[in-house]
Amino acid sequence: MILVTGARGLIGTRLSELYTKTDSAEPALVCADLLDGFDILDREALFSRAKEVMTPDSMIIHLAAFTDVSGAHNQDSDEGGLCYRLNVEGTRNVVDLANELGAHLVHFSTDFVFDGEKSAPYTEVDEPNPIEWYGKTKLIAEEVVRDNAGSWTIMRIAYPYHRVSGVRLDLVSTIRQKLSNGERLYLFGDQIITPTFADDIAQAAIKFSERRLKGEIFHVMGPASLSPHQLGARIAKLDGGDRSLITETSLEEYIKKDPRPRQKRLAMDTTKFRTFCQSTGIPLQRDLEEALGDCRFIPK
Amino acid sequence: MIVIETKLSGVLVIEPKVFGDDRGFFLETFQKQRYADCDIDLEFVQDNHSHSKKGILRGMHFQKTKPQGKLVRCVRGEVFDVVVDINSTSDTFGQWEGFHLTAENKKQVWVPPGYAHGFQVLSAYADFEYKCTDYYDPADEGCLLWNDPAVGIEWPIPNHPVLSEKDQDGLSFGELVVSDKL
Ligand SMILES: NC(=O)c1ccc[n+]([C@@H]2O[C@H](COP(=O)([O-])OP(=O)(O)OC[C@H]3O[C@@H](n4cnc5c(N)ncnc54)[C@H](OP(=O)(O)O)[C@@H]3O)[C@@H](O)[C@H]2O)c1
Repeated sequence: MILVTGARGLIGTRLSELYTKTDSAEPALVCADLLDGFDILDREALFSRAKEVMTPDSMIIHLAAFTDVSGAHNQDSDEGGLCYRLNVEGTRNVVDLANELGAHLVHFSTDFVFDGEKSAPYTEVDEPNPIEWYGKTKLIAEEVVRDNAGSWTIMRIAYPYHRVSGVRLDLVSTIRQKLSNGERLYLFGDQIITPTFADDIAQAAIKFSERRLKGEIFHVMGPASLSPHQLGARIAKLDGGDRSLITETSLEEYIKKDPRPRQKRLAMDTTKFRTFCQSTGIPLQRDLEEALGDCRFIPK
Repeated sequence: MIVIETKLSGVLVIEPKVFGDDRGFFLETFQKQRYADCDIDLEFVQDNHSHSKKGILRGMHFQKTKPQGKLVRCVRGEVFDVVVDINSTSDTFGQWEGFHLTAENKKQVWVPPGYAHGFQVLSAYADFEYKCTDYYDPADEGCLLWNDPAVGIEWPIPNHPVLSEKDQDGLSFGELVVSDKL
C-alpha cells in the first residue's frame, strides 16, 4: 500500500480519484491528511498511526506541505513559522518514518527551487537557487530527503492543472472561468511557466513508488513552457473564447509595485521524465491542446 | 559565388557574385547548374514575396508531410533569418542558426526540407523573397512557437514582435516532438 501525506490537497485529490479503486491492480492508497488524523508535525502520533496501517512493502508519497507562496513570504526567514515547520520538519518526520519502516519515499518538490534567471530550460542537474521563502524551505526539504532517506525519488512539479476544476481553482480553470463569464483577464507576457496536467503527475507518482527509483530527481512537467498570456490565448482558441478579453501585462512592471520576489523564467527540461515514461509505457498527455481538451470546465 | 556551410547540416549561406558599376549592379540569384553543384538540386515550384514592417516576425513555419526547401533572400531592408532543425534523426535536432540578410549584402540562405523557418524585420520595411521546392499547403502547415525557451532563439528584437494569430499560437518544440506533429 501507499501512504499519501497531504492526500486531500490539490494533487492528492486527483491521485486518490485515480487510484482508490477496490478492483484496481495498483497498490491501495491510504489518505494521510490532517482530516484523516495524520499530522506530520506530531511525530509520535504520526508514527503510531502509520504503523497501524502500513505493511512491510509499503511506500510513502509525501505531498503535505505549506504551499501558499504569498503566505510563506510573510514568514520570510522564520524557522519557527508554519511554512518552515511543515516543509522542513514535517519532511524530516516523514523521512524518519520511511526509514523506520523501510519504505520507499516519493517526495514532492517544486520548480520554485530555481531562481528563474536562466533563459534555457532547467534540467535536474542545474544548481537550485531559490529566491523566496517557500522555495527555500522546499529546497531544504529536498536536502533532508537526499541526505537522510534510505530510498527516495524526488518529483519536482510545476503549475498543475486538473481535468475537472476543483475547489481551488488552478491557473487553467481560472482562465477558463473568466473567459466563459466574459470577464477581462490580465496575464503576464514576460513570465515563463510550465503547466502540467495533474493526471500525468499522479501517474508518475504511482510509477515512481512502484519502481522505487532510488536517488533520482525528476522534472515531472508538461511539454510546453510558455507565458501565462500565451497559455490564455491558446485556451481561448481551443474553447472558442474571446481573445480580446485577455490583456497582456508585465511581470517586470508588477514586481516594481509588489516586493515579493517572483521567478521570471521557469522553463523546464523534461527529457529525463519523458524518457522514463517511454521506457515504462506511461502514456502522457502529448500537448496542451490534448490535455486541455480532456479537461472539462464546468462554468459555475 | 561563395557558399558557406553552417552548423546545421545542409543549411547553406550563399554570397552570390555581384557585378557593380556606376549604373548599378547585376547578379544571378539562381542558376540551376551552379546551385545543383552545391547540392541545391531539388526542383523549385513556387516563388513568394512578402513585405513587412519593422518588428514583424513571421515564423517558425514548416510543412509536416510535404516539407519545403526554401532559397531565401532579402531584397529591401534587413531581416534576421532563422532556421531550426526539426528533423528528429539529425545530430543538431532542436538547434537554431540565425543570419542577417540585407538588400545590401545580398546573401541567400538555403533551407533544406526538414527545417522550420522564420524571420524578423529589423529595418523600417523589408521585402523578402524565396523559392520553394514544394507547394504551399495550408492543411499541412505547422508552426513552432517563435520564443520557445527549449529552442532559445535570440531574436534581435525580443520583446513584443508583431505576430499573426496563427504564429502566436505556435506549438512548443516539446509538444511537437511528443505529439508527432513534426
Ligand atoms: N500546487 C502547486 O502549484 C505546486 C507546484 C509545485 C510543487 N508543489 C508541491 O506538490 C506537493 C503537493 O501540492 P498540493 O498543491 O497538492 O498542496 P496542497 O493543495 O496545499 O495540499 C497540501 C495538503 O497537506 C495537508 N496538510 C497540511 N498540514 C499538514 C500536516 N501537518 N500533516 C498532514 N497534512 C497536512 C493540507 O491540509 P489542510 O488543507 O487541511 O491544511 C493539504 O490537504 C507539495 O509538496 C507542493 O510543495 C505544488
